Amino acid sequence: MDKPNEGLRERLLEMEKMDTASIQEQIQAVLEKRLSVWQRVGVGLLAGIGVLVTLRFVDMLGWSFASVRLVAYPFAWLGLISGVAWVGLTGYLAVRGRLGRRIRPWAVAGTGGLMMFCYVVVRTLLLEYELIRWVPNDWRAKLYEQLALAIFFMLVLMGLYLILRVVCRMEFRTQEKLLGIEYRLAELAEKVKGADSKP
Amino acid sequence: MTEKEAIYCELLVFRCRRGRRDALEELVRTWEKPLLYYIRRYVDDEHESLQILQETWVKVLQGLRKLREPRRLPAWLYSIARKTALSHLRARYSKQALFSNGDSIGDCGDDGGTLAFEDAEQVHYGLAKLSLLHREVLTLFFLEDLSLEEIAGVLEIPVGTVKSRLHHARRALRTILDGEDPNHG
Repeated sequence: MDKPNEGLRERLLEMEKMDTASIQEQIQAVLEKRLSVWQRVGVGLLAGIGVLVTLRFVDMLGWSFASVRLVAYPFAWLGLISGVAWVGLTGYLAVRGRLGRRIRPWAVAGTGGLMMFCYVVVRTLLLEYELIRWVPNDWRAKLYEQLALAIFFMLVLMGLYLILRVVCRMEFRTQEKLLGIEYRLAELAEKVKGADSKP
Repeated sequence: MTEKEAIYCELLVFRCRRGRRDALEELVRTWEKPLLYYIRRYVDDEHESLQILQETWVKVLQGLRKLREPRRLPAWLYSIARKTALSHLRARYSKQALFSNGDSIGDCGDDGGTLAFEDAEQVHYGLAKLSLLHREVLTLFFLEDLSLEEIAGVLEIPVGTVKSRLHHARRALRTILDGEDPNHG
């Protein structure tokens, strides 16, 4: 079957009058998810929870963690930073009511996850520390062992998540680069073919 | 579609799946005009066609992750646009009424199969005069984004039917263009 004439496609597309501004507006609407009133209220509540957790972290930073301070303080600081970020993100989202363009879902979920993870770590450390303080000396060794295990478990969990994330990203990047190389090779092959066909 | 274009489609889909905003914008920028042109051949009303385009993009973004053959992206896009446009039209007309052949194929004459169309303005005008059955196949052919096999996939008909329909559509278009002057129509 014959191909249509050269350039006819472009000329035909030009024939159709298109309100590009209106199209762009519509596309933006598609790319951005508008939140309903109830969803915005829900996100506002999440921001409120974030404020409470952040204040708790501020409070925690004033505590003396005694023997567990070396592990507890970094997590408390990390929790505070992620808490502030979480409040900022969810607060902005609740006010603006649009998800997708400036605020990505993964950013909100990741910040919230990190905040809650830090909270659980610090609370676990505190619980263990309190238990150690009130139990007889002969039980302390076992509790220290438990505490070390809890810290180890939390760190392994976090490390595992980070490693998986890095591996996934690397795999995606490699795949994207391979496709990019494949594309450039095809482009080159086309150019060579074009040069060969010229007299 | 050339190998280069096929790889480009795969790369674009891959980047879109990774949630890259620039890739999504590129996808939209590349296809908004051809898709709108195609949709306008089904729907005359500008507002309604924009609405169909928006619905098409929503479906595309929702289904992008499930697209099995990223290299067939253009066919998939046109297929979604067609289904969305037809579902709008079906609300008004029956399928039979939609695809009733207004052009008498037997009266089209024969010019030996050398039907070349050069004047885009005339073609654009002539397309509007064709039946929907002829218009949709010819529009896809003129937009040059798909092979005959892919056009068959979009229209959900065998390749042989596409060929014969295309042949009759071109003859019908030639008849229309020979019989009328678009500058006075």
